[in-house]
Amino acid sequence: MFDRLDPLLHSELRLAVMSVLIGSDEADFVYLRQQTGATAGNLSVQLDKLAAAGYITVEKGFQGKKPRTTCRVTDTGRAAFAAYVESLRSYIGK
Amino acid sequence: METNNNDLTPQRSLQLINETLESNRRSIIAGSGSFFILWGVLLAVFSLAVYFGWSRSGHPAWNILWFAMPVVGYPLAFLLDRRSKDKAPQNFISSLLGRIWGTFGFFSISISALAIAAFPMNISLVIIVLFGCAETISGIALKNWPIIIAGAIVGLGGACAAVRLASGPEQMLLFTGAAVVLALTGVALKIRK
Repeated sequence: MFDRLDPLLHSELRLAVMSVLIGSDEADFVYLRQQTGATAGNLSVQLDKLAAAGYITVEKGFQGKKPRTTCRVTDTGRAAFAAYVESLRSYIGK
Repeated sequence: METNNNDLTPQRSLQLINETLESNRRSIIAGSGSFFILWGVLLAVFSLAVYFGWSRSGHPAWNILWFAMPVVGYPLAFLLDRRSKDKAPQNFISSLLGRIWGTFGFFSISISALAIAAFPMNISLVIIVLFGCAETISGIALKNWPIIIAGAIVGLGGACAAVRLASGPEQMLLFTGAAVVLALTGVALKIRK
């Protein structure tokens, strides 16, 4: 029996964003864009979806005079990511 | 990067996760390289300044210059940290490296102050061993054998040399050598990206 893959994570961009955030304490919007190669608009939409699901937090602030959007993965997001990887293993292993 | 998941097979998902994690890890570690270079350059400048001051005047009081190194270094490191946050975030390894070298700085300054104030000792010997330990532990954290070996050579070789050179300004050249190793560690981290 295969585990169902989390549809929110089973998307290239959202999965890449979660992978970056899992491996960092936090990451800002510019860095996420560099790492994923996504457009600003697309990335923004996907971050909103992840935040709405409670997988990440998005904090808007300033660094000096420059606006800065910082994202962090939540415990819920960490658990969902771990479950997703476990599901992938069940697909590949069987 | 597309958001369409129609073609996203489990194999491709795992590959994407691995690639992204690895790319992110490399970016973060390369970001730490700048701090190694900064402290390496500062250590070289201060060790040479103390060496020339001491050897020309014949007075070891020039060692007081060492206390200016954190005064110059920490504000520069703070500025570098603010700039590098635009390029790469922090992770466990980069935080750990910061703590290792912060601890080294704390012990070096404290031991120097204690030696000057009340407990005379061979400060160069103690600091070079601490330096070697910090470098080796950094190499272990980064899983980088050249850094581990360089740390061991600097720590053990430096300890022997510190005993031989204990009485003269030449011992400052030990720190110049250690500075080169530190800066090269930073360059190695940046190149690894």
